[in-house]
Amino acid sequence: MNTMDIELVSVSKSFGSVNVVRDLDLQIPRGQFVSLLGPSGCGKTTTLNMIAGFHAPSSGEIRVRGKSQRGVPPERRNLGLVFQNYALFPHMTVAENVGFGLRMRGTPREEIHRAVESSLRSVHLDGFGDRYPKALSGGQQQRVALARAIAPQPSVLLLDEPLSNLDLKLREAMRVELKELHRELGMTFVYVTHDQEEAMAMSDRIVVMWQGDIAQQGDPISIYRNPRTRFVADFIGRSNILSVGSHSAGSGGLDLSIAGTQIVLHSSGSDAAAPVRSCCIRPENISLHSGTSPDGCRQNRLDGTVRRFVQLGAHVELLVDVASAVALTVLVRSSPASLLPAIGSAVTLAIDPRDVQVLAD
Amino acid sequence: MTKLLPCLFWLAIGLVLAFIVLPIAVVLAASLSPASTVTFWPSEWTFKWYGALVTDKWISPFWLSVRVALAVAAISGVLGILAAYALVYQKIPGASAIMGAILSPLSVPQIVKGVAIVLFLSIVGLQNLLGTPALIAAHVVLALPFVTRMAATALANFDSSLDRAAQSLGATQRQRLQHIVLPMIKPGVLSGMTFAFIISFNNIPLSVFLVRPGDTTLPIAVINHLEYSLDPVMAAVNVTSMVFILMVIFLFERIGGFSAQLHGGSK
Amino acid sequence: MSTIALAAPATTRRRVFDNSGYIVLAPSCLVLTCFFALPMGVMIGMSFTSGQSLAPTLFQYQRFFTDGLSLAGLVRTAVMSLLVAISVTVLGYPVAYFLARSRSRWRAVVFALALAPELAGVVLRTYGWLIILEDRGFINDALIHLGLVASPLPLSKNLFAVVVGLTHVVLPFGILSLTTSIQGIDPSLERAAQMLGASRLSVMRHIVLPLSVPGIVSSLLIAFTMAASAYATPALLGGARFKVLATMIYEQVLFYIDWPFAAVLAIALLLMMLAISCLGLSYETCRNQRRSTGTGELV
Repeated sequence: MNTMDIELVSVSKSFGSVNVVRDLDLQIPRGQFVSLLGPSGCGKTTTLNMIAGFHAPSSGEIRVRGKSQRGVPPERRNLGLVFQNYALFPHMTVAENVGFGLRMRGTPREEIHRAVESSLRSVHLDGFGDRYPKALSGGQQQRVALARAIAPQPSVLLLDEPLSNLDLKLREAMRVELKELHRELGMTFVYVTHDQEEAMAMSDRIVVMWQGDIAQQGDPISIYRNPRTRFVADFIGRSNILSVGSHSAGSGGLDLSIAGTQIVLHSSGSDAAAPVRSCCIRPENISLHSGTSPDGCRQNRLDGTVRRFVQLGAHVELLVDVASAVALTVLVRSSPASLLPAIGSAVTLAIDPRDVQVLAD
Repeated sequence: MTKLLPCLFWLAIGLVLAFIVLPIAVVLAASLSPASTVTFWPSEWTFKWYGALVTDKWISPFWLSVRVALAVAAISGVLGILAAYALVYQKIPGASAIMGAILSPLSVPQIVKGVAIVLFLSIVGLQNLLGTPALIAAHVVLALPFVTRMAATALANFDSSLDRAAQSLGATQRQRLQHIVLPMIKPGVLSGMTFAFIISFNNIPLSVFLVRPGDTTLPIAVINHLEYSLDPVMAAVNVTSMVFILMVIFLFERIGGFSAQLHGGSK
Repeated sequence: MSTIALAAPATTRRRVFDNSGYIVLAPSCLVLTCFFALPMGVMIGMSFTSGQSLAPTLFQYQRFFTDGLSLAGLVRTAVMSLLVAISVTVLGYPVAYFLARSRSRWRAVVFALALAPELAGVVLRTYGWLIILEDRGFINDALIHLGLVASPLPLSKNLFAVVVGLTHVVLPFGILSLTTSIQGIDPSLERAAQMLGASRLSVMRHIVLPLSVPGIVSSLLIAFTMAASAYATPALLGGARFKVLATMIYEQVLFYIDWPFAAVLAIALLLMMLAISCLGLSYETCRNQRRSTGTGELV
């Protein structure tokens, strides 16, 4: 029994001599909210367009619920697509827009009417049926686009950066609504975005893409806690990335010698067999103790000097020089200025070995 | 059914393109066929009809058309630049109204303009202006709206921050006009002038009343001849005329490089 | 007709050059006055005279409405122009859609083919159609040869020939106008419709065509006005029996030398053009009004 709604098997796509997607293998299980996350040019939109049927893969196969989609045009794939610019038909009312998919399938008028009402209710736009897209705000138009895509009850809903044209507050509100909609409908969602906060907030699983291939995939927290490459560490959240010169097995983990320095960091729970070329530490996982060293000798301790600090409101970001060519960004909760170290003062940084993540590149 | 529609679509396009090309291909074939009546595919090729062109009957109208077209291109080019300069660059008061007045001839059919001019000239006793002078003046009236609009667009698209940069570097208005403004609007103006040349050279409705026997343009000489005979020399005349226009465009493109402007402006 | 944004650099102009703008415009204004405004005025004035004296009279206008031939000519002109407008729009639409949407390398070729005939000139193309359509021309020659007809079909010197010839002449402009209009339709609308299950035919029917209506109207208007004011093609392909206003004007000026009456015919043609332009303008303003209130159907 195939529980995969969408499978991509060794899919590649080139436009002319440009390889946009390389040998991609992707499985999207039924009912999950999966995000394709990556910077522009990583191939995520092309992948979505291939799933939708607007581009045929140069090689490889795409299957929807087990059936190969080779040669199947977009209008027969029964997938929903929410466009970045909404693409609402300007010459039709909201109700006509939402009912369009059912109309194309020859559904009887009564049923269309019911389905349209139901879809509009799901997106909290009851009673908007007679309006024209022109008369709606950006957020409302986006919801109409959503309602239109789900009305024909497709097997999978594809979303192409649908929130990127909305302002911040609206975006955050829509994230919650989208997640609720996903729970309510039980539909599989494939969501393309470059905003990692968005992906983290909504997804059951994130597929991080880079240069046409998958850099890492998994649930949001494990990707955040255990990035495997520099790119993922840097793209998701903020990281301090340090080159590792050599490493050896230490008590319950690895001892990492930071290249060009005398610093040795202890990382716990890492696999000694995997290649280790750098390590990453999230700024919020570094704690600050100024003056004399605290107790808790199992922590990694580094002495350094504060080079600058930036007030961010709820947090303060510090740049601390710990060696001649190594500076660490530290994120601490904001306090009155008198309690914060001044520029040039000596501080001791403490890092839990579990927060030192080993990277393969 | 889904396969049928694309086929119909390509078929439709193919038929329309064939429709477009057909008369031109036919004339081309006719000009090269030795037969004095036109058959579809010439059995042999000959250039004899092109040879027959080199008589005063065709050369003289051709030169007249060329002279008139050159004069029209030059005059409307200059007037167009000046008008655009006053209306767009200097933004004199009443600019929209004046621009509207300059564009107003566009809404009058050419044949009506022609009638009006010939009537006017006869009433005021200036019939001897008919022929080349009247043709030039009338074609300038025809071309001026287009050239002015093209020059005005070029000027409107001209980035005024370049002008201000030049000012801050100490250039006087005359220097700025000479070194910055004119060179940058040159492509737009030159394409306007080429356009003026072509519409003057090929013009018929405006010119029918303004020519005199012996002082006639090439297209009108051709249609006069066509009134009573379809002989293949006409084909040769027409083809030569078309080739000439293509060469003119090519030449202007060389001078002005306005295809760059075309590509820059298109999607 | 788009208006040019008449905005100049915001720098202060030296007062010395204040009047130079008017001086510089003088030659253009002179030319337009002497060779357009005055002649038009004289022509309009002349339409109110009879052939003999300069006393104002409505004689020529009465003649226009009562002599039977003039009104017939007007109607013929309108009918011919309408047929041309429809043919140009119908034939031009598929090509325009291709040019608007295609990104293949054939696009440049099709573009050149569609517009290049304009450079060949009206005469060359009309001559070509004469050769094709006349009694001893291609089509008849081929039909007789193949034994499909006994005597030549009357394909030239009539409405049919003129419509074919004018359609050919006006087609490049129609294609250009339609292409610009279709390019203004957001392509993602078509994709959205496809995702919702619409076949290509349904996409055209429900999305593209309804949204093309303004462009179609524009193309019809352009084609109509160009056809109505054409002279050479109706003269050559229409023959002596098919008279439209343009050819009638020509006759009156150069054969009958009846200038006042020619003036009336010219004014009739001009009024017909202005009426069509007004129609177009009112359609535009009607559409814009609906658009701004956001409740209209067609946008």
